[in-house]
Amino acid sequence: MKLEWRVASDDDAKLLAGFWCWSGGEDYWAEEVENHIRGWVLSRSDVTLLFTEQAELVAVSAFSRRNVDMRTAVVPGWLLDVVAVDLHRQGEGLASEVFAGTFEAMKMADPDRVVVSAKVHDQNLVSRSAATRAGITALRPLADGYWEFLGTTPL
Amino acid sequence: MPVRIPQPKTLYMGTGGLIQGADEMSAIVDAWLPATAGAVPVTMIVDLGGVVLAPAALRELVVRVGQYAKGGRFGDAKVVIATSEHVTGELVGLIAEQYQLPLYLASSPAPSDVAQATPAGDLTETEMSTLSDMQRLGTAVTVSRLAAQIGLEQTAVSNRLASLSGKGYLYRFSRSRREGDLFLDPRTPVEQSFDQLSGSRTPGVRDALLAHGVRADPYDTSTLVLTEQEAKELGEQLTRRQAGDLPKRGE
Repeated sequence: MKLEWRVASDDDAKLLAGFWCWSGGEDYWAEEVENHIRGWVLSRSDVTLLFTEQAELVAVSAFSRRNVDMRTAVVPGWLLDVVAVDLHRQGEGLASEVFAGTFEAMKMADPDRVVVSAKVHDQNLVSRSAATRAGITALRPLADGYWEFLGTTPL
Repeated sequence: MPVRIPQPKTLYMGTGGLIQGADEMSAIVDAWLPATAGAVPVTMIVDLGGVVLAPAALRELVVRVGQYAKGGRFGDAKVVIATSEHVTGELVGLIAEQYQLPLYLASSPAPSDVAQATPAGDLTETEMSTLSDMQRLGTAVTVSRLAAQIGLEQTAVSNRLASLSGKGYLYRFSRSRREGDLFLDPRTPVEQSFDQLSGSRTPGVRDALLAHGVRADPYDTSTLVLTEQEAKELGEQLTRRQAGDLPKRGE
């Protein structure tokens, strides 16, 4: 069944506060994403998306404006703040749909912003792989195990 | 109003173009702003970056947003106008003063710049001084706490805070007489105000990372500066994209 998505509003704060994507393990980057979605994403990201299946929240993504300096020009782009699938729905291959919906929302928000960046932990193999499949690929390492990823929205 | 965490909301106007007239701006503002008051207090950060505003459009924007906020159209809302253009900021300040609108002026919508925003509008020197004290403290205060911090009588501090919240420069949260009302400067970073106002401890932004010694900020939206080679590769990718020649996802 295809996921549906919509832009979240302040009214969704309670729904987001109950979102689970971290198993409680050593993957602190997933814990950070869960904390962020539960308490902060609505106020800190420009756009937050809720992905639902039969009215049940199964994934969340969020993005904010971030420009890219190409040396000859600064182009407007997006930073993919979070992409997270509900803990009980992980491993079902939903990430591709979440990325597709996110790209669609990006186009709707500002069709001129086609460059997408993201910061992904190098041990977060699932996210690295999902981002790469979506066309957002590793650019260079950052501090503390994080990597800068860069790509564009699809046509 | 009861204690609720104010939420910052950035309203941005796009990535380019000239907005000429008051009517055009009026339509933009009405499309942006919520039609009804929300239950959560909101610090609206109006980002003027990326567009050029003719004087009539600028005046319409500032007056309309300021008057809506002052009149409570979207509940308990405070307004920060963010512009890196010094002259635009000066004009916004003059308009705020002329129309007695409670606004703050920041050089950008970034939280660090909003925290340094300057108040504009109908303010006495004493009120400006009190707002400076609030900004310096960077925290929600009660009358007794601020009085103790700045060494003034509680009655005088109470009058100043009441005046500033009445004019629309401060959030005021009603509490019991024993606890005393809380006053919060909208420039206070949301993380700080959250910790101060919420009863329970919710993990803060990047708490999980900081606990593991990770200083990298995955939410940092500062401009990504590419090397020459990286820029060349992205340029080629954009060119291919323009030509519709991108490989399909997953290939």
